[in-house]
Parts: sequence; structure tokens; C-alpha cells
Amino acid sequence: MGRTAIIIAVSYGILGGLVVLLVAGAVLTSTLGGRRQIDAKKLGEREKTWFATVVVVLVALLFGTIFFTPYGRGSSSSDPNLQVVDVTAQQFAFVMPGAPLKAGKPVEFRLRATDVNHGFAVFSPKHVFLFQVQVMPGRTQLYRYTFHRPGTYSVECFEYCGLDHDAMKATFTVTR
Amino acid sequence: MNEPLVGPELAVAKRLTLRYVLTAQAILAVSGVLGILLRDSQAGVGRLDRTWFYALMTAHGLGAFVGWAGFSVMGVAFWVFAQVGFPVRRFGKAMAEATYWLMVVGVGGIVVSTLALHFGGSWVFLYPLPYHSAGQWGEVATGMFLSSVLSVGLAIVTWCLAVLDTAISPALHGVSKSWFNRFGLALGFGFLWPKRFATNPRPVPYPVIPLTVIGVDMIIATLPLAALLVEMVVQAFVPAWHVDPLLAKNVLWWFGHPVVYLLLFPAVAVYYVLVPRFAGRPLVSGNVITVGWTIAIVANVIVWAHHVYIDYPVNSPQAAIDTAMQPLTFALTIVSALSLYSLFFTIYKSKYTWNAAGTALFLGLVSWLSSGLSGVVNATIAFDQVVHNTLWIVGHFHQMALLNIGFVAFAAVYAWLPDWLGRPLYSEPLAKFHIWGTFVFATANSVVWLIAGLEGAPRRFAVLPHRYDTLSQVGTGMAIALGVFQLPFFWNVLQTVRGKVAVPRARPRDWAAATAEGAVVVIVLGLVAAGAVTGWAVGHYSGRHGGTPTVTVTAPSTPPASTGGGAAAAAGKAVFASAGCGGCHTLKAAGANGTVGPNLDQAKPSLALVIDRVTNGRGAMPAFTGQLTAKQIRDVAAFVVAATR
Repeated sequence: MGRTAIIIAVSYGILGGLVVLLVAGAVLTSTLGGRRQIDAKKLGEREKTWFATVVVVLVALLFGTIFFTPYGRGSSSSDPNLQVVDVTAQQFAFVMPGAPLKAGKPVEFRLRATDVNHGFAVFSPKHVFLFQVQVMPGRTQLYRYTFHRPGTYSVECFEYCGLDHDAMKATFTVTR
Repeated sequence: MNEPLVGPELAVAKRLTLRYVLTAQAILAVSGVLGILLRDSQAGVGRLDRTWFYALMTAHGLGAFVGWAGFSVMGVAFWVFAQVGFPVRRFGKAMAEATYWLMVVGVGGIVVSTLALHFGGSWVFLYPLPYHSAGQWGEVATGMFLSSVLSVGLAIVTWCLAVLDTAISPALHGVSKSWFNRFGLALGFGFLWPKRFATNPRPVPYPVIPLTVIGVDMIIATLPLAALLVEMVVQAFVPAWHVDPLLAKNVLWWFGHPVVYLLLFPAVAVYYVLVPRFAGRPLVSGNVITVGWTIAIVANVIVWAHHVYIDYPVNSPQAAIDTAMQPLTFALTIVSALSLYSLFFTIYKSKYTWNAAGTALFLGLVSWLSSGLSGVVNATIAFDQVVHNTLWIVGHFHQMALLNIGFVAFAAVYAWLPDWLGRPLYSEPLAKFHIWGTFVFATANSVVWLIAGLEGAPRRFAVLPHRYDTLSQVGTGMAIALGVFQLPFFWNVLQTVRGKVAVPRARPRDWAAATAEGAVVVIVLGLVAAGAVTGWAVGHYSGRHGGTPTVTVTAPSTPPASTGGGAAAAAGKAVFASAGCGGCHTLKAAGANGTVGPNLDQAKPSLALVIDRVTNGRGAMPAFTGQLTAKQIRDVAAFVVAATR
């Protein structure tokens, strides 16, 4: 798992799982045995507090994550180290240059598709998911990434593109 | 006004609902079987040919989501209205009838175009994939599939009209002659502006609010898609027509997001009716919930771009649209958070009725909470980049559609089938057995997908990379067990329809209810573990034979001639000859005897492999890009594959 996947696994799996179990357990056990009094009116009023809590949590999550979008990175920079890789995605292959990429220097993938929508998902030599982006016919999609470790990276198509979608793969190498 | 209807008005709702719900359960039976076949195939147990896998995948998605979950709750909506005293009037009834038949025609067309004509463009038929079938299906299949989806779309619009006509029923809101005022009342504005939207003697019943909201939203959401579908049907036969793929993608999701809420909001209406009934007290709720619904009616139709977070081509405004829609999507979760608050506190410390329906609703709420949390992950751009198009998404929406909406559909059947038929449920214990088993195995099934997705396993792969074999094998055990646990449901419904009643067995009374529930949970968890081990063992064993499992379930050996695959292969034969492939390769069908490269008759390469090698070359094999066009490469690949299969 990549770093973001681990963050998701921990926050959803452990924290979320705990919240679900606690809520489910509290509600389930509270109904076994006799009925007890609740102050429905007060709970109805408290809904406002809950409303505010939810808003605060969502705003916190929003500001904690919104600066990590992939948008606006890449292109029109005059970085002399930039390695530009043109990729054409088509049913059912990625056409990309065979020359190895240099580790530690930024790579800009310039992606185009000739026929249908495709996804460009890159995995590390150890098959850890690194990033993905969509490629659409008639448009150019950019993605910038710096590979730090040399090795053979693999590409899988991540948007369903027809009969041999799952066999649409490619590899490229990164050297020191 | 919250009194249930009686007499002929009740009978109208009863007939409509029963017909919708029973048809939907028949669709569940078919799409459930398809789902199990797909899951097994991925684990290497009964591997399906790709043509079949993707055709079944297309049928399963639409069948289960729209044909079962959607159709069920759409039907139950009329009954919900009846429960709170809103009769379906003449116009509403006509629209409801139209909806039923448009839906049946649409689902039938989808079945034929996928299972008989092999349309496999997936249930989102992402433009322009339907016209690039690689020989898998032809323009007739495309035209038929898209027209069928259009029929389903029109069914949704007529259903909305039926719902809105019922919601603004003047008989119940004698306070105002203006339909606009009644519309505001149905949206719950009476809670917010009691003077402007005054109602006598009480405010509008809560269940009416979500139904009205979705009635408005689905009309707004469906009409642009209907226009796109018309264009796409024409394009199937007139290829000169086309639209911008980025626009098409946005239009698709403009509909694709709200359609999820076409399932969720009527389900919420059912929760609002039944949970208070089983808890024996009114819904715990303040006025703030109508704030949530007012946000929902607007936010629901302006969050579509969270489905295209990783599309942001240069020279397009997409990145800005995508970013704007993260906060909007977050806003939309507020209504779920408030509804869950109300519903959980309505149950909390009540003497809740733990019958099959009550249990299904409670477990549905639990799943709503857990799938809502995984939905927040999807709604967050930074996280979506990792989980997009992985099995995580599949895990998420099975939690939402099967475990939340589906459980509401089950609860509605168990609670109300006796009312609709006028006879008791065949067996309550059997129903409880079904509910618990389904909850445990469907949850486990989804968890396996969530984990696989975080490991980077993509969705919509007929054959997953081997590193996911173990997870697929565990998952297939869950899916089969889930399927087995549906048998008591169908038996129960069938026997109830036939008017049978199971003879209740004498139960030892010394068991406290809690102990019995606990025992059920422990037993079912044990079964899960057993299912996991069995699934793993079966998959592991059958997967060991030579790495790639070879079990093939019925498949056409070559693409059917009508699909255009034949034409591609014929053109490919000419390419094979002119490009000089025979100089290096042996291929009997081309009369070629080259020995430099692999013998193609023996190698039997896949379409993707041929395309990749011809395009990019490898070793002594030169790359043909530049020399051959993309179409020529596809044609020659189609020829090689057709000649060697």
C-alpha cells in the first residue's frame, strides 16, 4: 500500500470501524430489556449541536485535504531537468518511448488517447500503486511525478476500455 | 393528516407497490446470479471468456442497481405515501403505470442487448466506448442497449411526475390553493417558515420530504442524459454524429450521481415510516433536518464532478469544477448525518421490535453509516486519486446499494408483504436467518473489496493480476455464501404469495432474546470464517493448474459476424500480407511459414498482446507505429486472434 492508502486504511478501517461498532452496539444493547424514557424534545434540540459538529468536522477535513489535489502541476515550466514523456493510449496498448527515465528528476507525462477513455495508473517495481490519471480522446492530460528509485515500473489501464481492457499494460524503466 | 389511507385509495397504492416490488425481486434473482458468476470468474473458479465477463458485468450493474434496488424503493414510495395519508391521484397513477412498463421494457432490452448481443460497454457506457467494441458487439447491440437505458431514464422521469403529483395533493393541504405553496410544504418548508407555509393541523409528515426532493432532482438530472442518449442512439447508425467526450462524461455523471439518491432518498422515507413504528415512538427530530433536505435538493445536482476528479485535461475548466465539488459533496453528506442522528436516537433506549423487518432496518442504518464514511473518502480529491476505479469503489457501493438500500427493500417486503397480499408472512424465523446471513456475508464481501482496492486492485478487470488471487478467492467464498443466503428470501416470498404459513416450531423459552441473537451472530461469524477458508482453498487449488485457470464457460469462439469483428479480421488479413508479417511468423490462415519470430498458431496471443507487440515492437520485432495506422494494427490483431482461437 502507498502512503495515502495507508492513511485511508487507518482512518476508515480503524477509526471508522470503531465508530460504527460503538454506535451499533450502543443502539442495539439499549433496546434489550425494558423501554426507558428519553427526552425526545431535548434530543431533537440537540440535533442542532450535532449539525454544527458535522459541519466543523467536514470543514476540517476539507481544509486538511484540499491542498493535496493533483491539479495545476506540470507544463510550461522551463525546468532544465524536466523529462517529457509522450504517451498515446489506444485499445489496448500504451505507446511510449522505450528510453529509460532518470531517477530523481521530474517526469512530465503528456497523455493522449486515440479512441476511447483510458486510465494511466503507475505501479512501483514492488507493485505499490503510485498514481493514476485519466486520458480522454481529443484532449491532452498532463501528470508530473518524480521517480526516486530505479527499477521497472508498470502501467495498467484504469478506465474500462473494452474487450481486452485488463490486458492493456506497459512497463518502463527508471535508472540512476 | 398522518393517518394511513383506507379503502380504494389504499388499494391503488397496494396494487402498484406489489407489482413493482415482485418484479424487482425477479430481477434480483437474475442479477444476483450474474454477480456470483463474475466474482467466481475473477477468482479463477469458472473463468468466463472476456466477451461474456464484460457483457455480464454490464447486465449485473444495471440489473441489480436500477432493476432491483431502484425499482423496489420506487414501488415502495407509493406505499409510503399511503401510510402517511397521501393518495396517488389519477395523473399519478397513469404516470406510475407508465413507469412500470418503461422500466420492464428497458430492463428487458438491457438483458437482450448484453446477454444475447454481447454489449459490454459497462453500465456507464462511457462515451465513445460503445462505438469501439473491438469486435465484441455491433451497432444493433449498441442501439438497442442505449434505447433501453433511455427507456429506463424515461421511467425515472414519469416516476418523478407521479411522486410530485402525489406530494402536492390538495386534499391534504386545504390551507392553500397555490400549487407552489403546497410544493413548499412537501419540501418541509413548514418547519422552517411556519407562517409562510402554514399547514393544518400538523406540518407535513417527514417521509414526504425526501420523496419530493428526489422527485424534483431526478427530473433535472435525467433530461440532459436523455438528450445524450438520443444522440448516442443516432450515432450508432450515423457515425458522422458525435459529441465532445468531456462534455459527454460530465452529462453522464450529472445523472450518475443523483441516480444513487434515487435509491437512497425513498429508502430514507421508508426508514422515517418504519423505524418510529418499530421503536414505538415518533421520529426524534428537530426542525434542522429540513435545513439538511433544503441543502440536499440543491447540492444533489451540483456534485457530479466528484466522479471525474482525475480528469483535468489542459485547456478545460475541469480542474476548477472538480475542486469546487469537494465542498459541495461534503455539504450533501449533512443530510445523511442528520437523518442517521434522528433514526439512531429514535431506536436508542426504545423497546425496539427485533423482528426481521426491524432487524433489517437497523442493519441497514449501520451499513448506511459505514458506507457513508467510505463515501467521504471517495468525495475527497486527495483520497479519490488512490481509490478511483479500484475495487474500493465496488466495495463502497455494494455497502450502500445492497446493504443499505437493499436492506430497506427487504425490510419493506417483510413488513408489508402481508399487508399487500392480505395474508401472513410464511416464516418470520426464516426471514431473520436471511437478514443476518446477508448482512454478515455481504459486509465481509465488501470488506474484501475495500482491502483489495487499497492494495491497488482495479475494478472491471476480467482477469486480475495474480497478486490479488488470495483476496479474490476469499471474496468468492463470501459471494457464494451470500447467494445461498438469498434462497430463504425467495422461498419465503414465494410461499407467502402462495398463501402458505410455516408451522412454528416450539422454541425453548429459557433462552433470553439477547442470548439467542448473540448465538446467531457467533454462528454466522463462524460460517464466514469457514466460507473464507473454503473459498480460498477452492480458488487456490483451481488456480494452481498452470497459473492461468483454463476453465471456460460457454463463449463464442470468434466474434459474431454481425459485430464487425469479422470485417476487422478480413481487413487485418490484408494488413498481415502487406506489412510482411509472414516473413517472420507462421500463421496457417495467412499461408505464412516464417520462422524468425514465434509461431502464431502455437502462441495464440491475446488481442492486447498482438496490438502491443505490433505497436511497440520487442527484441527483433520492429515497432510498426508510423508504418501502420492504429486501425490497421487493430485489424491485423483481430485477424491473428480470430485465426488462432
